[in-house]
Amino acid sequence: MRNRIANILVTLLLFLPPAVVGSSVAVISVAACRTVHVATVPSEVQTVIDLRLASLAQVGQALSQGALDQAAFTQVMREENAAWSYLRTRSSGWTTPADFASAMQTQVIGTQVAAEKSEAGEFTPEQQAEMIAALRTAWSAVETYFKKEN
Amino acid sequence: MSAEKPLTTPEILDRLEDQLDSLEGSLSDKDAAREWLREFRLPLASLSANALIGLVQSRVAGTTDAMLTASMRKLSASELVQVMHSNAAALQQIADERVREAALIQATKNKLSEIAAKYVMSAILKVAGFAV
Repeated sequence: MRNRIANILVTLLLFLPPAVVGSSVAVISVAACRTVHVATVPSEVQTVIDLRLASLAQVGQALSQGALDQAAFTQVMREENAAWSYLRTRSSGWTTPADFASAMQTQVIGTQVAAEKSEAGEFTPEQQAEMIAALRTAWSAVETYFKKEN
Repeated sequence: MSAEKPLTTPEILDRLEDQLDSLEGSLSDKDAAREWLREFRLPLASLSANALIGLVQSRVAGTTDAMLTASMRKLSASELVQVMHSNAAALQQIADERVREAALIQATKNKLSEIAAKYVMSAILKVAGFAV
């Protein structure tokens, strides 16, 4: 029986064109890497994403009824900075494209500078709303990026 | 306060060139970056503000958080919002690319499984002594 299975496997390899064998190995390797990569993303990251999206939705709602005061908007930017800093640190050990690391850096520093500018009263209500919209887009993109099926 | 007019890409390129001197890095790195910026002015014109800033910084040695922070502090609130929008769009592009890759990998795996199944069947029939 064991010999028969071995024969089948050898015959199978002989039958498969080299290109198919090569492609299979490549695809399986890529798929394996991606599986490992996805498996390393902890559920707490999804929790952070969910919390930030929910919080920004509330802020967006509040902004639609009028500007946030300086202190409240600064606080939101600080929370954003903490969340992006967390994600940047956690994702530093994962297999992500170089562009992703660069985008994380921009998110972290952008929110830090936004908090400083907000504290200095530099944001207009329109700019506050625009900033929140940009951050919501960014979190949605990150959520798509880390979806299990990806 | 009225919102400032967003910068055009050529204006951003001009500003980046002006800002090169204030960035950290050796003089030769800065000169190389300046030359590179001029040489690739046309192809660079289609890139987002954030991508441009990232590209210039990657051409100057020792890109650090401090350097990027200093660079961003010089932007107005309106420009900062613009950079964050560009960055969100870049993240969306990365995510979309990943979704496309995942779909392609899945489709290829399915196709390979189909092909492999045919070969397995042929092999079984051959080993079992049936003509294929």
